[in-house]
Amino acid sequence: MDLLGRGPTRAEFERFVASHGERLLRTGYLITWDLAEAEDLVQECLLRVARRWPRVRTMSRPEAYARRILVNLALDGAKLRTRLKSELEEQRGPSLESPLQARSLDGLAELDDRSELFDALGQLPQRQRLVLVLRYFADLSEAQTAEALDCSLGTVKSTTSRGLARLREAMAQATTGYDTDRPPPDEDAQALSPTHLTRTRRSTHD
Amino acid sequence: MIEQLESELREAFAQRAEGMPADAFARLRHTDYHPRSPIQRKAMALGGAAAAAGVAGIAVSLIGFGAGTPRAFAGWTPSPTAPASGQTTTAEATCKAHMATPAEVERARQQASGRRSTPGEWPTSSGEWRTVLTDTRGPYTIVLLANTGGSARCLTGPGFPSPAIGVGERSAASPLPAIPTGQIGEPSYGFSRATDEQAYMETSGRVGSGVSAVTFVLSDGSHVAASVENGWFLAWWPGSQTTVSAEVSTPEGTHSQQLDDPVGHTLLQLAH
Repeated sequence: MDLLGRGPTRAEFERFVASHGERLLRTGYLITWDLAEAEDLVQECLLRVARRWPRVRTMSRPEAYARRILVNLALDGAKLRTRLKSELEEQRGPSLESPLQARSLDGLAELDDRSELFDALGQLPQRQRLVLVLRYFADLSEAQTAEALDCSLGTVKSTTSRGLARLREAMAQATTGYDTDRPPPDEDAQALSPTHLTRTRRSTHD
Repeated sequence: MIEQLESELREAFAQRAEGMPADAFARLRHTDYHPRSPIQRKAMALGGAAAAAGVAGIAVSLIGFGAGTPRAFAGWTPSPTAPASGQTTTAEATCKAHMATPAEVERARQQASGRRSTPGEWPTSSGEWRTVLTDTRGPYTIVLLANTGGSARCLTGPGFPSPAIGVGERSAASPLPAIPTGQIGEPSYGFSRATDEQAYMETSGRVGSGVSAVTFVLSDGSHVAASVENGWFLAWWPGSQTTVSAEVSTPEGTHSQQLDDPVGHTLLQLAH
């Protein structure tokens, strides 16, 4: 990290990355469910933190600020990534990588106890997974999650509820052998859209 | 039931997070966290080719370049080279075909600045892209394009699955403040880095009257000669070295012009 200047400022930032970077990466990994995307997200996030470091370093919880940037980046990029992925899937034709289908082809393998939950999580709309990650991985309260997302408490509650319901449904379908190739529509896209966040955003971006 | 699912969810998240490859964080720590204002973030290489580039291409929107970017810029030269037959025209056509729509440009600007544009900050009508300047270095061609909405740098070459497009100056077509005779204007930078081997810096800007050549002195002491034409300069180089100064040639001779350190410039902006 040789471009943040030299001296204590750089050392402070490096300590911040050493202390919180891995947690941010794990959070990004769970939000995107894809390591490459997570690395991209967190790299961008840390670049923005670095750019604002003289101010961020004075915050009481700079890691919360960084997480908020990460969340915003994830939300901003989700729509584009979804669209491009959709284009790719259309070009490639039906996927053979459906986890449920793959399992049916690999019946001799003993499934991990959580494989169905992992599969269901991986197929959640990213916005729903994001809220669940903040609630159940980052251990944020509903109020803290709402603050991190700059949305209402009600939106967090409803999104969490829908996410959990979808997980239950997906796991039940897996148990009964019902299969689906396509992820369900993302009814939370509007509630947690970047446009919505912009209207309610206070000062995440300067 | 809910409590059980919530409990399983916590454990599942923790398990998956713990399963993250160990080298992922090491890669993250080895990134240059380069404050990039006025250095601009890479814009999106959007369009059909971006989709055709494969899943890795999706990362373009955030990191600039995903897998598939050449790991080394073989054939790059510190001074511009004469283009091969058809090299520049092919690059121009490829770049123009991949330029983003105004909405996509706005999204890229948001990613670059970390905020939405304020009303009137950018012209809303972008119009057709025109070529301002091309720079060839071995098999690589970088094209500076402009329309009424601003400018963009577009790099093509071996190994690039699609052109790498970066946001350039605010506007290259509307009236701009004059550049003093014999000097160069404040450079606009673009920086991309996925790994050590994939990092590169690009820069463009305007030159004052009388300037016939510009050579940048980089932070590691190396020199990179820019292409200069039509009142603009354009250059790029592998690595993440920043510019320290420019050797500017005029009819009166060559003099050195100090350039703002991007990091210092950023800190200055933050102070206000």
